[in-house]
Amino acid sequence: MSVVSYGFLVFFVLVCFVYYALPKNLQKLQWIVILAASLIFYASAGVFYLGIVTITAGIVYICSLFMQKNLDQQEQLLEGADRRSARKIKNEMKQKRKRMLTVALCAVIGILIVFKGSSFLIENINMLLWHMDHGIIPVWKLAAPLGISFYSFMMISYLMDLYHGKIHAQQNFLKYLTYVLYFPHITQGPIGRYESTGKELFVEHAFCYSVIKKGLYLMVWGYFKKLVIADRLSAFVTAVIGSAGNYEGYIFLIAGILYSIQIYCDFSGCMDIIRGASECLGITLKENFKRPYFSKTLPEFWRRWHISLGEFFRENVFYPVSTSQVFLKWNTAARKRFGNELGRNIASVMPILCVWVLTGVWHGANWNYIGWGIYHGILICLSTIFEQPLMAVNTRLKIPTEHILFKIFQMLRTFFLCVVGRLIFLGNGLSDSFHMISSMFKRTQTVYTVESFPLTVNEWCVVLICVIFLSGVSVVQEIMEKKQAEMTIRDWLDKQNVLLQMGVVLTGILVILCFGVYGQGAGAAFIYEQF
Amino acid sequence: MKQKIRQDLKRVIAIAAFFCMLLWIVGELGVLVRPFDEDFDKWHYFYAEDKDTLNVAAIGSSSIYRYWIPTRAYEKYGFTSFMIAQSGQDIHTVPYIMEEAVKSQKVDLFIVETRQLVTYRTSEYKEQTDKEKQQYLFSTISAGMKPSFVRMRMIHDILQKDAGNPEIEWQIPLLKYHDNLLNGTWTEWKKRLTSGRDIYKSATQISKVEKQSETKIEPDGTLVLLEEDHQIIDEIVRTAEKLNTKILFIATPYIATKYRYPLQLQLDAYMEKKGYSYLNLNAEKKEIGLDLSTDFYNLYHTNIAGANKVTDYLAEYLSTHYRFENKLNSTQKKDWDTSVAAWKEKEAELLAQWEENCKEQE
Repeated sequence: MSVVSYGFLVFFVLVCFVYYALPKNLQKLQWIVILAASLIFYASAGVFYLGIVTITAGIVYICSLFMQKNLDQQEQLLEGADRRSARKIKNEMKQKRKRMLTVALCAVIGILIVFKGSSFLIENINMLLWHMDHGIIPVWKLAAPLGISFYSFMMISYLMDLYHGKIHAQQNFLKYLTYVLYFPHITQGPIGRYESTGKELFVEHAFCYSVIKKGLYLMVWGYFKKLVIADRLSAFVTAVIGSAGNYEGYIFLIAGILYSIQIYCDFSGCMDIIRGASECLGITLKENFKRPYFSKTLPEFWRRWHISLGEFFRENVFYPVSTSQVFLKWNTAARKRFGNELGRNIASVMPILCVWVLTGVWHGANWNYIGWGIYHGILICLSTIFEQPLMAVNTRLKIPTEHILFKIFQMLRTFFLCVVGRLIFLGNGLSDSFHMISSMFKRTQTVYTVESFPLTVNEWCVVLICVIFLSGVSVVQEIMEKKQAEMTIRDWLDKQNVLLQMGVVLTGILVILCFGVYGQGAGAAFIYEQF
Repeated sequence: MKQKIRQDLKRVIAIAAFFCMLLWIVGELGVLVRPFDEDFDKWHYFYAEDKDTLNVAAIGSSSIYRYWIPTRAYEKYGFTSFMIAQSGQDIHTVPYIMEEAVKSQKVDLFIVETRQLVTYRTSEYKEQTDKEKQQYLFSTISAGMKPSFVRMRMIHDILQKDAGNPEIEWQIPLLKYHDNLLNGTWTEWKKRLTSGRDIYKSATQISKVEKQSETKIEPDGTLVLLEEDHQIIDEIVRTAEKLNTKILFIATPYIATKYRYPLQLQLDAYMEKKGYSYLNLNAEKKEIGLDLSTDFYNLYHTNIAGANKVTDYLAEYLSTHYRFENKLNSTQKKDWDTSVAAWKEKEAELLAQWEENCKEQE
């Protein structure tokens, strides 16, 4: 059931109704309503897949109980122990906990690899075997359960937090299943933390008109971005990228720019719908996008884009790799060879590249995604290495780095680097991507007109007006945040006259109904749903 | 506590007002964004007529709109009429059309053309009309109809539902046709937003000629009208009674074929058995003066020459069998007189072309 389907809207209204209709003495059971709704939501994609998720959650649940038992034992043993004994006890218990953690991680990651990566691995092994004149392994193509990448990472995050003692294991399997299957975030995230989401899921939520209203505002905004902008641009992008061999020249730059807008509106639009829906149930999900195209550097971009994924990799890959024995040795060697500053920066290449290769693989077992990950990894490494030298150059040349024009230059530079990355991401094979990027700045005799592509002039006008409006709202929000205003645009709107609020929402809904791409034949799925 | 109740009440009223406004705008937009095909404009022109100015509303498919000329009937016999007729109009929609029509026109008489009953059961029809076309034909009736419970019931009862054809998009036409907002050209939008009444009062005739001939057909009993076909006729009669309006079923003249003739005979017999008001113009071809060599453009429809004859015959029949009161004020009369004059000009063009076509046929 897609969140942009008629069925979801009806489903969601019914869930809200049942959720808040519970009498006060039964409100502590609201999580059961969420569990039932989530089971129905997920089962609509296939009962078989619901079984897969439940089994995976079951394995994690059992392992988490053992890990919690270990933590409780550790706490008991630590009572009255001196510092030396305490350290010894902690290490011993940690080793035992690690075994359980390993079992659970192997199960979760193993299932993820079977569904997402097995055919890719077999295809590449077969390529090697073919070169070696060996027989090939039969390839199997498994349809992955909905949201497997997202819920697998949520489970990993839960296990890691539990391992480090940051949270207590959920003792009730049904409650744990509710957290995993929570229908707003199961298909596309955000990759939640049990610490925050878990708490909110199981407390009582009384009906609050203002909260629900603001949740609905966010949903309308999300539908606007997804249906009016993203899905409208999809026709053009698909036409160009789908037959890249038939095009050349600047058209790829345009396609890259428009795809950047499309994917932002698609993914952040979905996030807004999901967060808005969750807020209507009184549960706050973390923001996953913070106007990423206002970023002045790539590291900043990745702190604003798909924030939850970045946090996950930072905590579960970057920090562990950075504090590993291998890295420490590599760090020491690099500092000895290149000096403290440069050496440290060069040593950070290893964990950065680890993170980015995995980020690419997370999107899918495909050389384009891996290539995209490596591309961003290299750029971030370079950004880290040359940060100080560039600052020195700017100072020497007296470049006014605080001037708005310089900031705009930085934003455009970062955006352009992202556009190149998108073309790597999008191509049908790396050769396709290379053709698009190399062709981007070549002179071409071909003249492309509006008629060459699926969108009409009227549609381009709608897209342009909507993108300008989106940019305006984003600029206002960015300024409000820079001025450290406590409130968002939603908060501001909530305080306005009721007629203005009604007018804004009515206009938003009508724009979506009139200019959105939906209905029979529209059928554009969310880009990130495939991951 | 009182303040909280007052605040809650204000909120409920605000929400209700919001949804009423939204539904109203969506409903109006839904009619506005209907496809730009002429087939979708029939309801628009019907609604455009001044309230309670029509004596007769004729409902049917092309088997009425190729036969009846309202301005000709008005000029000769002084009663007003209008057609709510689309190509291939499903006879099951007739009760709903009647209910919708009386909201704006308290007509003295409904004429219901019965051709669809002898058509849609036949194999030739099924071959010609696949599911997509059937849905298109249904959409020409539903899309232009104003939002109402009548339309809701009609769509719910008649639409062939499937996953790729969600009912909600039919109930809220804006969801189905919103793309027309961007796809329509400036000319099309200008015409739609400025078009008022139909100058020809729903008349649609053509000048094409195709020589026809009739052969004797003996029914072999394989084709039968089913019980559900009888039921729809009964349902139409009940609806007319409920609306306190007279009804006349008619069968407009066509060339008998082995598919339709047997069913026509059964329909005629059923009408007689039930004693419904029924005028079978197939049996009156001689009296009407129809010339098979010049008055038809295919087996099933008359051209301008044939339509003139049928209109004269039927209009005389109606004026002698029914009482029609004058419903027009002086301004409305002028409007109809203007339409008569406009139609005369159009008719002259069509007849000139018809004569040319007749010569070519020779």
